[in-house]
Amino acid sequence: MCDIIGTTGDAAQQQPKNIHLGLSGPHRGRILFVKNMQRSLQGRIGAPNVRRLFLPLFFLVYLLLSQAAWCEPGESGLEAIRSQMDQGQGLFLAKKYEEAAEVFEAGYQKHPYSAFLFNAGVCYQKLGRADAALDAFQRYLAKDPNAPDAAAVRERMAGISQAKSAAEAAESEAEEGAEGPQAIDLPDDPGQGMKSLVIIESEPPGAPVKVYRRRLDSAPEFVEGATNDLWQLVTERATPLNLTLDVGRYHIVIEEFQEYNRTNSNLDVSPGHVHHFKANLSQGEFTGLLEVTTNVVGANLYLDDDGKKRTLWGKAPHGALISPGEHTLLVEAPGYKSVEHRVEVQMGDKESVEIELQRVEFGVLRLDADVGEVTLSVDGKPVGAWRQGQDAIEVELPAGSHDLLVSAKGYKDLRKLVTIPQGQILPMRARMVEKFPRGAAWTQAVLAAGFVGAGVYFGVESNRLNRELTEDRDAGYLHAEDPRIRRGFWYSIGADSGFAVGGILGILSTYNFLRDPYPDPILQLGKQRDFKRHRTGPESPGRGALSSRPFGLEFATSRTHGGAK
Amino acid sequence: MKLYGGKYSSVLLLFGCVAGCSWNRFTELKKDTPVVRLSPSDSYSGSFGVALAVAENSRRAELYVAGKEYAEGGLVYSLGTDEDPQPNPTDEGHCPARDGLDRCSAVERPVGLDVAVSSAGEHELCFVSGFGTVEGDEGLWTRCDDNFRFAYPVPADVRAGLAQGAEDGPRRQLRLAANRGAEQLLVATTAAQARAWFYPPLENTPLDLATPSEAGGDFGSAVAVAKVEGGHLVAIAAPLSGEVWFYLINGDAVTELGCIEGPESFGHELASGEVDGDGEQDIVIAAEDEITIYSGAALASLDALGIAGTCQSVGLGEEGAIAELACQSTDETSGCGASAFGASLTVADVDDDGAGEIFVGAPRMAVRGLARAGAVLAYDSDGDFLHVQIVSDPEEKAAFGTSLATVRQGGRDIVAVGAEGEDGAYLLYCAGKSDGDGSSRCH
Repeated sequence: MCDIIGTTGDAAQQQPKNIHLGLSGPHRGRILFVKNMQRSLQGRIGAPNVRRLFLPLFFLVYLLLSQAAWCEPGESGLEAIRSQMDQGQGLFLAKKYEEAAEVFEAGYQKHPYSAFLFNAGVCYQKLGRADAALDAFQRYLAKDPNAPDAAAVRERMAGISQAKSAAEAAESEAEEGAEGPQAIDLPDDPGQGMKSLVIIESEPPGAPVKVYRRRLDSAPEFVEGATNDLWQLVTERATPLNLTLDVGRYHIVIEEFQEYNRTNSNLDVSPGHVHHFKANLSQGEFTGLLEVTTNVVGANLYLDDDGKKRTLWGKAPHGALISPGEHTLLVEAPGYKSVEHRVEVQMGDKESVEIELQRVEFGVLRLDADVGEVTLSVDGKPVGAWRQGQDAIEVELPAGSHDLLVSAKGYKDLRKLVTIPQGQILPMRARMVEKFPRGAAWTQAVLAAGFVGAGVYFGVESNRLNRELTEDRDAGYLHAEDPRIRRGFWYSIGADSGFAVGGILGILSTYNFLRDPYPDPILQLGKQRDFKRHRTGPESPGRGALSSRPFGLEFATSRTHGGAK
Repeated sequence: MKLYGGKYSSVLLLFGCVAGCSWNRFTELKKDTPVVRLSPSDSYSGSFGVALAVAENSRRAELYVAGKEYAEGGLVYSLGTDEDPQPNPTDEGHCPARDGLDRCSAVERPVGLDVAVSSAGEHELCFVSGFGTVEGDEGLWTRCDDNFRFAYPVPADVRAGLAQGAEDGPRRQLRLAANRGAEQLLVATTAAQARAWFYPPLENTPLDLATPSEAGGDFGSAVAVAKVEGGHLVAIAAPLSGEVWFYLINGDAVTELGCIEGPESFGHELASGEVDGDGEQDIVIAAEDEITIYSGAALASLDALGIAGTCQSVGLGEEGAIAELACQSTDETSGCGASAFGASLTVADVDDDGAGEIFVGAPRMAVRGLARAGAVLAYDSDGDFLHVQIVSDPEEKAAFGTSLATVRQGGRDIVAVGAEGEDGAYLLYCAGKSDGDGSSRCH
């Protein structure tokens, strides 16, 4: 028998219809108390994330439930039930009672659980269809004759029948001619809204269970061994069992069973919920459930272990039964700041904790190159060198933009402004490009310097000769055959030629110094990766910490002459 | 931006350098240089630059440049009358050592005549350049601008000695001189025979000049002719005795004026020209260390002493010696003591003020540290040193100033200078000026 049930109730009182499931943690045998998990998560992380988070949880629940002997609906069946219930609940809340009744009836046909019949009856009652309502409640009682609310249901049915009779009498006195059944003004739903489903299990099964309900809100707490007059025994059965209960406080007692001790716990039933108790009788104690979710799947969770001396409590998302009381939760994930959170877990209760981890404010630059050896400078400060055959160089840097300079002998400098991500590794490979040979430029420069130097020399000599000759001319000494005139003439030509050729060579040299047909080096960025280990970050900005961890990124390895792809 | 800026800067720098280092400035320097060098033709094999002579008239002037005494021939350069001389010779047919039956042996001091008279008539612009034979006539070898050549006859009693001297040169010591300007009187001397004779203007018959009985044995070592009011003043030196004897010739008439005695070597070089601006040419006499300029008018007015008289400088008075010149060293020159100061002399009115400037050759003077490069020192008519003239590319042992001559060019005189050591001759357009005025012939 599978006691998974959807809830219905008055639209004004009911919460949005959900499936409430019992979760079994790793500590089997403890009482598991799941209290409106989805609603809680909706409030914390928003509706869109609920479904995303619930899918794996749902799958996990399904696996656990699939192991239970008393409920084996299967994955598809469980989903179908949930879907059916959701659909009917939605229509009911929208006051589309006719359509809701059809859905619940169809659901019962597919999954013969009495809750569908009860819900359908409520819908018929809302519609004033007395016969249909009576039929539904009748089938409900037939399906679960020992239901705790059987008397109440019968009383409801009596009210409906009475209303029906009164309506028929009034109708017979009415004028003839009216055709077809008419809607009857039936009494409203006498209950307290939606009822909740309580599932109680034990390991091993078969343990005797007593469920008490507090009659008055002012009644004292249930006391073991006392008369507890203000507490009413609702049912007494053996596990596993499922109950449909009204809202209120209950006390569950599992009696001594075989070699196991007695155990008990309070239960507050809220409208339209599923409460799932599971008792590990071997431990003889009640526990609470702590569920931890984080925005980082796989984050390490340490419980009451600040020094991380013990093994992990779990990896997020994670839930487990723990002893009631105050606990310290330490959440760590590589690349994220550690978070310490204090949480108090009540016995038999479930505490859901969602931790929002923030990225650390530094990242890791990981670099290798396609040449034999490169040196790396960040923001103008050398931080290390990398040689072929070694692991990639890793530098922890404050997150943000950094001026990167990769240098290699015989290769062009690679300068790039890179943005280091927070808490992640930015792998990169320097595709270095050889420097364009400057031999011709240097030759031209040397020749240019030589020619210009010769030009300067000849120019100076030419000027000197001209000055001397001019002085001689002014003194009346100069004659046209003076060999200095010819010498100065050729010196001038030599100077001009030297300057001209030197200038041309200088321009050519400058051009060839500036000319660079080779492509620029490329900094190939890989996909950002999360840290695989916890890092403390750089001691100071710009100071790198080298790592010998291998560089596992896949880059294209083919090269072309003098350049990078 | 840098690239383009660099390019523009380079181009500007290049153009700036090309403009600043233009070779055109040297081409400009070659125009109208203050000095013009005359070089022998490639075919000329004789020595060059030792002897100079000028023949000029109102239309043009020619410069004769010859080599050492007894050397072969010489070259004639046409200078025109402006300042654009022909740097290449126009006539190379002077005084050939052998040309058919003609023979010639060059003299140390040739002379130029505006008009020479041969048996065939008058000829313009002639140079008497040697002693030899022309078509069987023996005498002073002469060639004129019309390429006519002839021989001035010499006195019969000196002909044999001159002929012998032609074969044994040092004993001949043939000197020639003529006054500058019109009515040129040609005078010849031979110290070897202590004889002198002259040819009246436009005549070619030699007339004797009586040798003074007390004259030194080297009488005739130097000779100069000055045109004075009373005729031609002839000065003949006997430097070994320190004597210079003067004659006044008017037509065929000769007046023996007397003698001036000076220190040793007095008169080893003589020149004439108008120095004091009195309209009469004066006589410049070189001694070993000094140059003295005597007024031609004063000399011409000396009383006749008689050929047998003794050599006394009587009656010359203070006005007779116009000025005395001494060697001067400058920033460019040094070594006056061994400069052969006075080895050549000429008088030229380079500033055309009517008074001549005296140019004195010092061919052994050191120039710019170059020994015996030679220089020409210029003095004004008062004897004040004006300027030292050198060439812009002095050479060691060039002996610039070996010989001097004056040429009329462009309305003023210029000076021609021989440089024996480098076989060159120069025309000094700015001689005597301490400021070349940036050339353009130093106007």
